[in-house]
Amino acid sequence: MSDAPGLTAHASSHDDRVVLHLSGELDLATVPILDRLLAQNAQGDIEVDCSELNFLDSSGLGVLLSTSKTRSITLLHPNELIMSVLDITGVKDLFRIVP
Amino acid sequence: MTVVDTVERNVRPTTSRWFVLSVVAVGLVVTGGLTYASRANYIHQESRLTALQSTLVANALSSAPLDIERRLGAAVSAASESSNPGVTFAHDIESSLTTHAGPFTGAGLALVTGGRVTNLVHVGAKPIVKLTSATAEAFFRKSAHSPLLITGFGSAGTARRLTFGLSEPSRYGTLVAYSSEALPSNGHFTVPRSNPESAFNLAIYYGNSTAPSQLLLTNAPSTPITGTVSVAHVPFGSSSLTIVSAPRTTIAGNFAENLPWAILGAGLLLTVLFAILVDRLRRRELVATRFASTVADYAGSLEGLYREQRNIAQTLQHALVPPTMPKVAGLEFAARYVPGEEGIEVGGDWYDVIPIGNGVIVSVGDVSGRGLPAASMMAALRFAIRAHATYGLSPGEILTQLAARSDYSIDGHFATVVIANIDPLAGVAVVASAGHLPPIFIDGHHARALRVANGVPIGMGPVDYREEKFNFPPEAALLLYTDGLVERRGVVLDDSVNGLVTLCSEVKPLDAFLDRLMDTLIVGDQRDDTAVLAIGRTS
Repeated sequence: MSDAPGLTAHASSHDDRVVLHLSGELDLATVPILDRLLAQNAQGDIEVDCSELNFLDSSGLGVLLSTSKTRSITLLHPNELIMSVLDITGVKDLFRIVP
Repeated sequence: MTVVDTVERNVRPTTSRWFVLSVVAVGLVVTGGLTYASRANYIHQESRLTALQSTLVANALSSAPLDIERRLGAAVSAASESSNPGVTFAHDIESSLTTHAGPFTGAGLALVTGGRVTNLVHVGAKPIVKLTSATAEAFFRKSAHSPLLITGFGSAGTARRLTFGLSEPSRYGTLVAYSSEALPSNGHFTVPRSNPESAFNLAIYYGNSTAPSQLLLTNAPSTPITGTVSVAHVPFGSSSLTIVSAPRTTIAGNFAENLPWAILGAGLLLTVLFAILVDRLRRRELVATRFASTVADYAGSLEGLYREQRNIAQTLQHALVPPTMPKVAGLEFAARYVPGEEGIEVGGDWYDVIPIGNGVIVSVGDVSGRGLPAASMMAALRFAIRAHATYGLSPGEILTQLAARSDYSIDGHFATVVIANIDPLAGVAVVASAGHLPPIFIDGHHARALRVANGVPIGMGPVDYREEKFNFPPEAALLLYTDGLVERRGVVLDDSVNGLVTLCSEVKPLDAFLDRLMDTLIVGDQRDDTAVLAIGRTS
C-alpha cells in the first residue's frame, strides 16, 4: 500500500536495446510502473539492471516472464534476494542472467 | 452533456425565488427611501431659495415708494411755500417726468379745501382718468385726509397706471401732489439674463390678492405662476404688493434636481443586478449541493459495486476452498487460507484435496495478479487438476497437461502450482512443481525442503514436468504453501524457506501446528494471500 518502499524506475536507450534501471521493490503495488516503462520503450531487446532491486514477487516475475516471451530479457547483476526467487520458482533458465 | 448541465437544468429554485424576491424588496425600499429623502431635500432647498429670492424682490420693491414720496414731497413742499403753487410744482416735478428720465408718466397738483377739489396744474402725459371725475376726486380727497403716500391702480382700455398721492397742508388749503407711472399694457417685462431674478418667474400683484385684474407686472410667459411657488407681501404706500415667484429651472442646480432620479435609477439598477447575482449564487449553491449529493450517491454506488465485486470474488474463492476435508483412510488434513491486506481485491491462491483410487492428490497454487480474473483462472486450473486427477494422471502429467493448455499472453495470468500424490497404503508420495515454492517434508521430527526438479510456471508455454517419488512413512507429513507464508522483503527467499523448515519440528496435531505457524509467520501487514495445506499420515 502507500507505506510500501515502492519502486524507482527509469529507462535508457543504447543502440537497439533498452536498459531498465529498477531500484526498490517490484511487487503487485509497483508492477504498473514497470508496465508503463515497458510500454514507453516498446522496441528492442531489454536489459534489466537489478543491482538495486531488493524484492520480486510473483506479480513482478509475471511481467518479466510475459515480456520474455516476445522480447529477449537480460537480467543484470541480480542480487541474492532476486536470484533466490528465480531459483526457487524454476524460471532462472528463461532469462539471460549477467551476475 | 455533462452531469453538471443536467443537474442545473433540473434545479427548481423555489427557495431561491423567495430569497431573490426579498432581496428585491429590500433593494426597492432602500432605493425608494433614498430617492424620497433626496427629493424632499431638493424641494426644501428650492423652496428656501425661492422664498429668499421673493424676500429680496419684496425688499427692493418696498424701497420704491420712498423715492416717489421724496420726489412728490419735495415738490409739494415747495409749492406750499410758493405764491404760485401750480407753477412752482410744475417746475419742481419736471425733472421727475419720464421725458426727463424720471419715473413719472404724468404729475399734478390739486387743492382740496373743504369738500372741493381744484386741480391746479398737470404736466406730462394725459391722465387716463378725467381729473374731474368722481374716481379722481375721491383719490384726491383720500390723499388729503392722510399724511401717508396714497397709492392707487387704475386702467382704461389697454393703459394701466399706478398712481400716487401725497398731501401737504398750506395756507391755500390741503395741497395734494399726485403722479402716475405707466405699466406695460400686458404687464410683461423682461429681466436681463445677467440679473439674478432672470432665473425666476415673477408676478407682482397690486393689493393682497392674486386676482388676474390686479396683476401689475410679470416676466412669466403666463400667469398664475406654477411650480415651487413662493408668495411675499410688501407694504406699498397706503396699499401693498403681492409678489409671487417660482424658479424657472432648478436653482439648487441640475445635480441637486437630478440626484433623486439618479439615486432612483442607480438603486433600481443595483437592485436588479444584485438580485441577478444572488439568484445566480443561490442557483449555483443549489447545483453544488445537488451535485455534491449526486457525487456522494455515485461514490456510494461505486463503493457498493466495488464491494459487490469483492463479494463475488470472495464468494468464488470461498466456493473454491473446500469447506470440509474429505475423509481418506490413513491420512489427515489441515488447511488455512488468509486473504492479503493489499487493496480489497482477492488473490488467486488455492489449495485442494482430491481423493483418488490409491489415496489422494493435493494441489496448492498461486495465480499471479488479483481480482475476479485471477480468481476465475484459479477456478479453471483447479477444476482442470480435479479432472486430470480423477482420470488417473500423475502430478507431473497433470502439470504438463495444464501447461499445454495455458498461455499467459491469452489468459493474462500465470500460475505456480505444486501437486502431490500421496498413497498411504504404499507409503509413497509423488511431487511435481511448476515454479512453486518447495514443499516441506517432515519425517517424524526432522523437516526439510523438497528441492524437487522445478519447472516453469503454468502459462509460460508447453513444458514436460518432471516428478519425484519418495517414501511417505507413518508419522510423515507434507506442508504445501503459497508465497505469502515466506516472502519477506529484504530476506533471501531461500533463507525464508529455511526459516520455515525450522518451525516444522513438531507437526502433530496438524491443526495446532498450523495455528502456531500462522501466528508466527502471518503478521498484521500481510500483503499477499496465503494458502497452507498440511497432510499427515495417521498411525
